Amino acid sequence: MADLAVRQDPHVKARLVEGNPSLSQVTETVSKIVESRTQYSWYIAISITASITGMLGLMLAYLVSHGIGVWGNNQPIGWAWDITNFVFWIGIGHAGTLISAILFLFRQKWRTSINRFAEAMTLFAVACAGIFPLFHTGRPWRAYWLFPIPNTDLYMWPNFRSPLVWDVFAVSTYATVSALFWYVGLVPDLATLRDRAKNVSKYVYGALSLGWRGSARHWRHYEAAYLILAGLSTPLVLSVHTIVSFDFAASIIPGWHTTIFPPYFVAGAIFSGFAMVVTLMVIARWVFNVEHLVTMKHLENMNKIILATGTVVGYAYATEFFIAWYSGNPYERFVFINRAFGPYWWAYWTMISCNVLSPQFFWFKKLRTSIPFMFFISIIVNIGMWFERFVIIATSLHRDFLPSSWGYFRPTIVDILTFTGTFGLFLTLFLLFVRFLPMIAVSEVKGMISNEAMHHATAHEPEVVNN
Amino acid sequence: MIQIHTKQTGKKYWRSLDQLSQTAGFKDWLHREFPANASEMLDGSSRRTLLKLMAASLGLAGLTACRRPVEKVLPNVRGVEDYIPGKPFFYSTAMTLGGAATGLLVEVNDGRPTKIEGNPEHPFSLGAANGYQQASVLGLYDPDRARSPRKDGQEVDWKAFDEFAKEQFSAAKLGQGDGLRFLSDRIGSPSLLAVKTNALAKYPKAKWVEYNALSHDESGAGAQLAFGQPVITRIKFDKPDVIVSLDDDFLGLDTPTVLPMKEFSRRRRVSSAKDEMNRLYVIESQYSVTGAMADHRLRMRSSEIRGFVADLAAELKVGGNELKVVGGNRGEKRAKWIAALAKDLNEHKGKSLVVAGPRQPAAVHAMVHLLNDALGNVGQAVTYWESSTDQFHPQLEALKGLAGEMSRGQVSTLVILGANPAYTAPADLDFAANLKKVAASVYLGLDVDETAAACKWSLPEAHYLESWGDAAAPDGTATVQQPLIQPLYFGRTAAELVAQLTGYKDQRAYDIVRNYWIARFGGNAAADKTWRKSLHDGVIAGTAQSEFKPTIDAKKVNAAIQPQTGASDGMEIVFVQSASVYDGRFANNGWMQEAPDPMTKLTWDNAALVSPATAKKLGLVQGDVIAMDRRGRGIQAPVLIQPGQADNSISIALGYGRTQCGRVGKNVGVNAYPVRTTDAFTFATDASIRKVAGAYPLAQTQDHHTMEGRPLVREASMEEFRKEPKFAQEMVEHPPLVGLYPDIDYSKGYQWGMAIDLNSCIGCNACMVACQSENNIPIVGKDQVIKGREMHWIRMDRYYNGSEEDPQVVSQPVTCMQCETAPCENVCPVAATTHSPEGLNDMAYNRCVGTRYCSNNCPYKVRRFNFLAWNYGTEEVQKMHYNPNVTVRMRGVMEKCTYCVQRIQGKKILAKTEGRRPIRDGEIQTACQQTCPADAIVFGNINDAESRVSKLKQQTRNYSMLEELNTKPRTTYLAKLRNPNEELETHHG
Amino acid sequence: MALIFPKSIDKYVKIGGAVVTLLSLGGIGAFAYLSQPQVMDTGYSPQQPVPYSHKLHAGNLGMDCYYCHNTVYKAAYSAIPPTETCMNCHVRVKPQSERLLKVRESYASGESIPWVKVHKLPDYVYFNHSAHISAGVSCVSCHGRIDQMAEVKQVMPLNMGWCLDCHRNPAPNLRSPELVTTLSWKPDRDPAEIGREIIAAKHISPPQNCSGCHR
Repeated sequence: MADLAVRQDPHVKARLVEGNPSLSQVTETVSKIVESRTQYSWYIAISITASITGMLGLMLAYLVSHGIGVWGNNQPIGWAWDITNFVFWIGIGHAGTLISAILFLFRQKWRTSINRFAEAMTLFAVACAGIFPLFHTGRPWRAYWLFPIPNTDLYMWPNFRSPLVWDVFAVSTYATVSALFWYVGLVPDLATLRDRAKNVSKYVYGALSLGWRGSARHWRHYEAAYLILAGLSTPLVLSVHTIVSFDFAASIIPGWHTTIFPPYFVAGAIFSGFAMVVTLMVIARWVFNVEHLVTMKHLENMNKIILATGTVVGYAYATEFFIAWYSGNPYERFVFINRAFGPYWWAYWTMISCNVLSPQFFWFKKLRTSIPFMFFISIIVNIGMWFERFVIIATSLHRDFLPSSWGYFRPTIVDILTFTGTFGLFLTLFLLFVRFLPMIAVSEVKGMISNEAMHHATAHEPEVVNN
Repeated sequence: MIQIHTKQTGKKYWRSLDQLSQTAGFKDWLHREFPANASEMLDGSSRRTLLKLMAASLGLAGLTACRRPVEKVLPNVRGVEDYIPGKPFFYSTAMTLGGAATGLLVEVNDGRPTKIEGNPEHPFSLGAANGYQQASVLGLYDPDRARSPRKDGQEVDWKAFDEFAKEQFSAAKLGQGDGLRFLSDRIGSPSLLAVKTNALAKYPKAKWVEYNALSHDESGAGAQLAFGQPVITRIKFDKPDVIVSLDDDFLGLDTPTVLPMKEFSRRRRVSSAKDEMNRLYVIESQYSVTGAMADHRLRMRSSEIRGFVADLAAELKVGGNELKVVGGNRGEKRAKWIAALAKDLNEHKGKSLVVAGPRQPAAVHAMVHLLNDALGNVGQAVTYWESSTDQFHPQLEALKGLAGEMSRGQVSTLVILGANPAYTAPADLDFAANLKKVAASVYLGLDVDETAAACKWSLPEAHYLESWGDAAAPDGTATVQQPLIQPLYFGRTAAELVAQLTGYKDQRAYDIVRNYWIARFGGNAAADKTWRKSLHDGVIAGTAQSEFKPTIDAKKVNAAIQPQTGASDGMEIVFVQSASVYDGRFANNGWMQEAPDPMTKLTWDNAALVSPATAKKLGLVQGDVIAMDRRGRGIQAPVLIQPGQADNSISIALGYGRTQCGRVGKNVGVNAYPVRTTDAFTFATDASIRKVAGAYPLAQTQDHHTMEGRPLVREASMEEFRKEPKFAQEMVEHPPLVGLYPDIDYSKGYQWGMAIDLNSCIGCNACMVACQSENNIPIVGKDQVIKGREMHWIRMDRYYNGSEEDPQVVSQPVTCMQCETAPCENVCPVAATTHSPEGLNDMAYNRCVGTRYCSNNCPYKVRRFNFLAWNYGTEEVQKMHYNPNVTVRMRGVMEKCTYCVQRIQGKKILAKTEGRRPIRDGEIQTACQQTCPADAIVFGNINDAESRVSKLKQQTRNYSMLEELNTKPRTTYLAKLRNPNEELETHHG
Repeated sequence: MALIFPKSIDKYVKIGGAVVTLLSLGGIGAFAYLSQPQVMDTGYSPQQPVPYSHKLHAGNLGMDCYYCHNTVYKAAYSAIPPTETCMNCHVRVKPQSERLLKVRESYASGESIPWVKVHKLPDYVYFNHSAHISAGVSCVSCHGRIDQMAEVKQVMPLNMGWCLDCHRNPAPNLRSPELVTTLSWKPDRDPAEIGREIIAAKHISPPQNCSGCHR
């Protein structure tokens, strides 16, 4: 009833928490998700995703035992779906840290109820991404040579001029910091669960919450640590995809060798990252009915960001084309004409329509606040962003300098199943997350409620925080 | 003689695999597996199981740090004279193809012949070798070769045959030899001729028939017609200034040896604007490499050339004016050509040349003799030698006779020596069927082929690399053929077999050959010295035929050319030799199957070549299947649209579609023999073509055929070159080039570089096969070629320019450019490819993890990746062809050309041990350079201003491809030139 | 609110943490140590089919290495001598010895003696004896004092790092070629100094790029 009233009253602006839940209600809602008995639907879901993950394992085993030849890669297309998927997943992994770190530093309150969720997504996406750099090598059992391990056997180091080596550092750092950030954020809520938990799980959460007692001292340290980590991971948000883009920008292949890549890639990454958050959030808030915690305002804000970054990406496409023409470099020109009208025209126009056109609908409030529509668009955007990477990688490679060596790439069934498999892995991890961990940062939401309470006459008296 | 087992002291590869392949389990698994899956190379999926097994061993391969399995060293028991383990021997020998021998030098590593080179001493090799010769070493180790005698298909031992021979080949049984017939390839071996003479003396009524599917019958008949006696025509292609080729691919398939390429290319060397260059006109139906070299090319159906040459003769007023011309299609272009040719030939009397191809009828050859005679070219470019025989015997007639006798059951005993006639004989002779009518048929062949299957007895023949023999070059120059290894499968030579069957005085090949020559040398003490010298030189002095000048009978020639069969406008089928499998005998040779055809770039198949216009007319697209029928005989073949092909003329390569063949060649491509009959032996004009349902995938190594206006191959006419000698360098303008990393000083020590003269390069595939042989490059099979995973380190790019109907063609060998600022090196994360101080772009296979980043970043796309384990599943015997100085690469690593670094290091070390002397220019030759019949590739030290390579790089035609990328390639190209006749300018291209 | 874990848990956590850290460090250390070729490969001394003693022949009898390994200065491989070489002497010397039975059998039957390889390099490494000997690198540098070994034993690690050490600084391992097989040779002055002179005289510059050894 209450939140209806709120909705209808034109003088009251949309709020980050609806229906004025009491603090304990918040705790209750979120924790219950974890504590309540597991529904069958969950079992069904996870059994499906787990088996897809199993297929991923089989595909990788097949790959390692037979060689890269089981994929469609060839001369001249040395990289195809493998690196496309890598960049795709890394891109997805961007929203998390962005929301947690940058929005945190900018004191964007609306982040609170979605950041935990986004961070988790980041971790899982990075996990999926990490598969490809390793398994795209012809001899994965030798891949450790990419790490600068001191060795008296060979006296050999990696080649620090190679962007792939930069990648190794960028991605591993990003993964580590995101994980820390996520876990630190979890600690207070884990404590909450511990205190509410019965029997065994109490010990598990107990161990995980590292003896958190919520004392002022704890909170002070916590805030400090959180701030520092936010500060640490902010540059990473930009650096990771910048360096990933160097894999291409630092080469000499027309269509790769472009200075615009770093910002262009980062924008694209945030774009796809937010799209993925929306996709998952829309489902999650409905399934676990936390609509009043993850409100339309959150979704709308994310859609705005999708609109913004989507436009940036579109601008980047335009710039690329302009520069290709302006450079006067025949090879550069050819590549872009070839992208749009060559054998891969369909990939290019898919990319354009998904990434540039579709977000434009978000100019209309009606559309950007429509759950089904935003869900639809967010999926379209992710498809588009996958195609962007494919277009950049495959179409640049398939026709470069010498026409005699031009080729064409066709994915094999193994390519397709491997990519599908990574989704299985991603979703499996997610299902485990929503089942066993608080998917919304309880403590932060509560903090925000009490803040908001000050500003809203209609609010109840804040209760004493007791968890 | 070195025993095979000494190979144990040679290098072994991929220990883990090696260990695995030693285990009995693996061995018999191989033997179980292979007969099961035919053409294992063609079917990717059938290799899977094998690969899985191998994958297990890779784990081991990784753990090199652990204690290694015990390895044994087996030294010889008794020392072998001058034999040093790991140091190769070079033996001179000769390979005969189509009755003509080419002298070779064969590298033998620890008892294994591993690499074929041309013999510089041999007048028809001059150090070069073609693809067939290069690949023959693989044929030696072919695991599918006939391994033992067979009686009615059942394996038996030699003893069984010897007993059969004893009672079958007795005077009692054969009497005068009425029912005895011999059938063989054209005999190029003097000693075999002696054995033959002896045999025919013993059995006067017996006959000996020679048959080659790719015969030079017509040219022989032409000479007979013109001179009234058989003569050998020897053409010196370095003499004439103007050459007119009438359907003669003398730079490619229609030459038995590499000599014409050697000679022709001498006249394409242009070092400065002052130099002159010859001019080549080609009139042909199928686009040949000769046509690609031509300054002017006229596409014309093979059947119309007879009319063309008659008109040309008339225009030249050769043999009076009585030449009247009928038939053949007119057309202003053709007239213009004839006028221009006549003018140009007249202006170059004595310095011109007209040649006709083996597919042209005798009359055309006769007329060509007449033209050369009239133009005063005889004694200049054209010389004649006496033939060993007094009368010319057309092979086809003889074979027809034999088939007739066989069908009438008049042949009781038939001895077939190689050549696989059951497969290659004209269809209307039903040879295979008639073979069944022969009571006792004996076949001696390398493979268990169609003829072996059709004969009572099939015997394993000894490969030329494992047996004693001798061979004569086209001019009679003889070479002793030495064995480099003991017969792997206890095969016998043709001479041995005939000697055995007909009781020749010597029985063992060595005795037959040696005694024959010792006798010819005079049989005295000196003879033995001459013998040894001949062995060493690879040439037997004084065996060449003597020149003479036959008198030509103009009347006869004119009469012969006169009744011109008005060429029908129906569809024409031309039967051409395959650049890969010759007449089918190399069908089981993987290197040749995967060596792309120089013009079509087609591998693992033959196809019906159709001109774009004809294709449009018949509504055909690439990969369609057409049926070609003549008089109830028909074949179906995939269509390949060939720009520059004559309209209404379809050419198809012979030698494919083998049904009785090893795993590699079985059922590869389409067999064209079924529509080739005795009356249409070279081309047929009465075929009906229709499209049939279905599409057929063709594996071409190049899918895009124009340069997109990019300055990759740079070309100009002589005029343009004279006006602007630096045209090649001025074709590209770019801002000053600045590198990201500091430049390295390459001014000290040896600095290796290469120059490739596109003006001499003919575009044959010799260098590709030579490289494959030298560097242990695997073959990948049709599926993988379609996927674009072929492994050739040097590829022959072929571009069309001009109209689709009538394009000009340029070929460009592209291999690793050894860029001084190599894009591949910066991006390799593990520093597996780095630069050597001598300017080589080193590739350490054992360091590579296979990210393929280097290949992506290589603008020349010359790097090759082992997408699958190409080398696994090679049988032990096949491993014997490996070059021990080059690592065999495993799955998952990148590989590429390194200027044959093993040869560079070898010579450097040799120079060190020889008192640390400097390396002489030309001492190090890369495999491609050494075999190049056109001497288009030159390698050497660019720091030495006097070296040949430096001299070439100083020329104004020198340019580096994609220099604007600042890659500073060490391989540079010399721009191509053409020498057009301005009168035809408007029409060329 | 009841404690889930006893207060003392903190102590245990600390201790546990310390233990884990130490163990993992130790593990890494052990692996690093074991993965060193000096540890894994050196000391390999397999049983040979014939108890041939280099100590006796090269040491006590003072036979020159070249007598048996006669290809070593002109070829990449230092060939194992054919049985014939043994028999050159042993037809007269100890013709009946039990220990030489295998040799006599081999000589009679023509079957090679299956010697066990001691010094092994990976197959993608192309070591060339003649190059090193002509530069003046003694057998000792890689094989140790063979003339004091009854049973041949690998004493050097023969790994890439070890090769590079010498290729980067060859001086200490160089001597004049006629001394190459005098394993007992003791330089009268600083070997590095001698080496430098040889380097200057012969312009020795060992390759340090990949294709020097990998082809």
